[in-house]
Amino acid sequence: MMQHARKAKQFLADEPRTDWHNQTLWIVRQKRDALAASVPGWETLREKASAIKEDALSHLDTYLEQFETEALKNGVTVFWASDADEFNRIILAIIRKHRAKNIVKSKSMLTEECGLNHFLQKEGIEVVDTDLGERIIQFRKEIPSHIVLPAIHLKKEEIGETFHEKLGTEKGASDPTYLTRAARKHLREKFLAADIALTGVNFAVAETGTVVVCTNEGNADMGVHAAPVQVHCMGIEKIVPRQEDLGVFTRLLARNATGQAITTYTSHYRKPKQGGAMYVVIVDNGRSEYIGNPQYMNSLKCIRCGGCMNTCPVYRRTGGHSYGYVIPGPIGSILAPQRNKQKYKDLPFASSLCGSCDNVCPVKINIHEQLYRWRQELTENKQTPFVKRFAMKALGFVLSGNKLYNMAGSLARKAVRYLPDKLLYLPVNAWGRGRELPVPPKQSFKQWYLKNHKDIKS
Amino acid sequence: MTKVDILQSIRKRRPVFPILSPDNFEPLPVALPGSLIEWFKKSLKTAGAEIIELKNTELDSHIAAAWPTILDFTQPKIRAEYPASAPLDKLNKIEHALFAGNFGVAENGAIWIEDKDLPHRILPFITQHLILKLDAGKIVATMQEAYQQFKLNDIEFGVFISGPSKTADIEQSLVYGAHGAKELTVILVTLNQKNITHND
Amino acid sequence: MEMKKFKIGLFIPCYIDTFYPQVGVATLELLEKLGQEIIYPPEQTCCGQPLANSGSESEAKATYLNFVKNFQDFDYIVCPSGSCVYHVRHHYDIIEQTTAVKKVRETIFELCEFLTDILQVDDLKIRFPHKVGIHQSCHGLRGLKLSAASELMIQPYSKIHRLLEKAEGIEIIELDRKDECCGFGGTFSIFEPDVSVKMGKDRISDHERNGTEIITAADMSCLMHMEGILRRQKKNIQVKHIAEILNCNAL
Repeated sequence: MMQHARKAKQFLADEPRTDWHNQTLWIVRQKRDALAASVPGWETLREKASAIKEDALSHLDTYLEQFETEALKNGVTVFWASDADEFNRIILAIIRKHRAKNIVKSKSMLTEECGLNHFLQKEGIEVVDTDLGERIIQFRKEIPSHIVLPAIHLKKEEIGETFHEKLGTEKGASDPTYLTRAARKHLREKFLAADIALTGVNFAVAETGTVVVCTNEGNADMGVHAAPVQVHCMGIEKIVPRQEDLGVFTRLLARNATGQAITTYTSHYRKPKQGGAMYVVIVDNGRSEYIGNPQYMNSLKCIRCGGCMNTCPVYRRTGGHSYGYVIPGPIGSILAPQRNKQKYKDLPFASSLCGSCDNVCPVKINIHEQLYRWRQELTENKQTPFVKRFAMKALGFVLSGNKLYNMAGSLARKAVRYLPDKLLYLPVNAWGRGRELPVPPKQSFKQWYLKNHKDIKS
Repeated sequence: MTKVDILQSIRKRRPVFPILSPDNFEPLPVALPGSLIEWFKKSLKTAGAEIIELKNTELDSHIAAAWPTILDFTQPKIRAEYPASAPLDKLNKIEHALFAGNFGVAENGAIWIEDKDLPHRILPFITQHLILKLDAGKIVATMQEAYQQFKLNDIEFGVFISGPSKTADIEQSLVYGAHGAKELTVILVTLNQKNITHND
Repeated sequence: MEMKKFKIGLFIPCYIDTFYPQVGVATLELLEKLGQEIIYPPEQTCCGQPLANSGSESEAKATYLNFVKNFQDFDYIVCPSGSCVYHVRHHYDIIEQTTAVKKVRETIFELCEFLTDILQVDDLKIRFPHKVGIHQSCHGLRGLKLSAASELMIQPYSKIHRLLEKAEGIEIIELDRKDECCGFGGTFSIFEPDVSVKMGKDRISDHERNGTEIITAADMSCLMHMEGILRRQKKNIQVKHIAEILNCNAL
């Protein structure tokens, strides 16, 4: 059984909880629908956003250089990192240079992708995640199960238990307001003591060297403005060419992510604060390999709204952790094999290819088509199980001609008709788990047609 | 030379397939449910903010009565008391802080604040209760118009604020006051001129 | 009713041929009643989708060519399965695009869209006094655009509703989630059986909760999956391919 299927089975074992997870995210999808419907020309806006990203990606070298030039003019220090390791070392060097002890970090999927926290921990440096959801899972030593709602897999009682243990909240208390207040108090102390604030980047504007960060909690701003040193970490694909492009993306992002008209804070950082330092670290980590790839380049348009997760019927019923990659759900399943084909070979198959993600995506990534393409590529590379490939080869032979096909159909009908249930529903029959096989008819359509219809006609 | 490597890797692969120009789009339609002000107020309410509408002549007395300890950062004197070098402990004690917003956005209730109005950038986040006053005539419809109101190159730090700080990270239950201000009050200021009617 | 007459190649997908011949019969009879000339090329097998969706597109090429060979000589190809039609239209791009291949990809139609778009008929003068829940199969919905998908902010429409609404006595059931996937997904149903079954169960609950007696769809594969679950759970809901409903009484 595939890795995802196995973990999905575990998740699904608790059916009421699965239903809760499914319904919680479905409500987010419904909120998104309502907000999207309130924008006249929503579909045009998506097309425009997609076109801006395609333009950005197809001239990315120029825009990145322009961004750097502008940022340097603004007194910002810019670093470039080829891979996760180089990125982690750059961050470590910045921390060492400033002799920083207290590091706070707002949400950044890039730092998750690069394993920054883990790397710094080994160097004896503790990073405090300040997004409430991220802090919760950091306490619990888990990874985010959703890129926008990192702790969506947890019940408030479980969070209450964690906070009781880590923050001394009352035992058994699970009221979200009470728990949020406790986190506010705890994290405010961390902000006030911060030496360095790390953030992700939602958009980096090439023409002005500005980075834009969107949060609801205000944690990015609390950290960035409290700490003398601010460090913004971005993948190369975060570039948008012009200021006016932000007008398009800020209309789409929060509406599609959480069903809000905009995030509470949309912050634009261009120059360091008085007496402070500002860094931007630009990370490739395998992305540039997919620039210009006609089948997969589109995936780099992603603005990390998480909309595809909320709509995905598989994600909603299997949870983010079943995917085993830092970005779960549909978009994660096309990004993961870009990082490591062997390790994530089963993810493109963890989808019914329903295509809902394509329709939801604010930048029109053809996610389900890329899943389909990855299936072909992984099979060609012999990364799928031999038995499956062999079976498909055999099936391909059967389906390519009439005789074998007719025989196979007749055999299938006979098997279902005459084999005892005990044999038919052996565990090897995955269909039979939860489903009956079709009742076999006496004859196939073809047999009926040849017997009846032709005669009647002639 | 990591930078050169990355840029070369991109140049080597830059796509040759046709790319749709982002300029080939008509301006998007803008819906106007009632007036811009009504739309803006509705959006702000949804975002969790309180709204007060005042004439400019009523402003000072109302503020003084409602929030006796308020720090009015539109006053040069108050700005001077909280410079960029002010210790965080002092800033952390602020209960009510008032700033002037530059303009508002009807479709989402966002208000644009920039560093020229902020002696310390952390102020609108660290205060427990944020009060923003805004000229009721300065409201644009959408974010696309909003980004035409200023030049990013003129500002060092700027932020759109829509509502109080919030989170739904615990079971999707909405809680106001995650890390930033727990409450946001927006004062919409209209000029006290009797003659602004359509009948004239 | 004056209707254009076409020479139509009838494509009956492998699983319908093998397990649901009555759907093939209904499709055939319906089109003949509408005055069409129907030919069933007996050497046909399958569109090749089961192979391709499993990642073995290259093993499917021979099947694709067999399909083209059988169906290149018709005005239109009509098939009672949106998923297979979508596959031919969309994924037959890996074989050489000869005139025959191009023609097959352009002239293949799913039954409902053939009725509404080509024959331009939606009132089939039928009586069907039942509570019917419509399952919007994903490839028909999002691939062939048989209806406006709920994610898109476009004018709502549904070719399936158009055909059923005019049936006398029918009550079309409103669902809580009008177009969520049933979890069949081809070989997904085998390789991810647990989530596949759960998705099917949830779809069925939606119909049950809202009072559906009969679930219908333009794709028998989704119905095969849901029927398997319904029978395992001994539920009283029936499944019926839309062709069976549209063909239920004489015009």
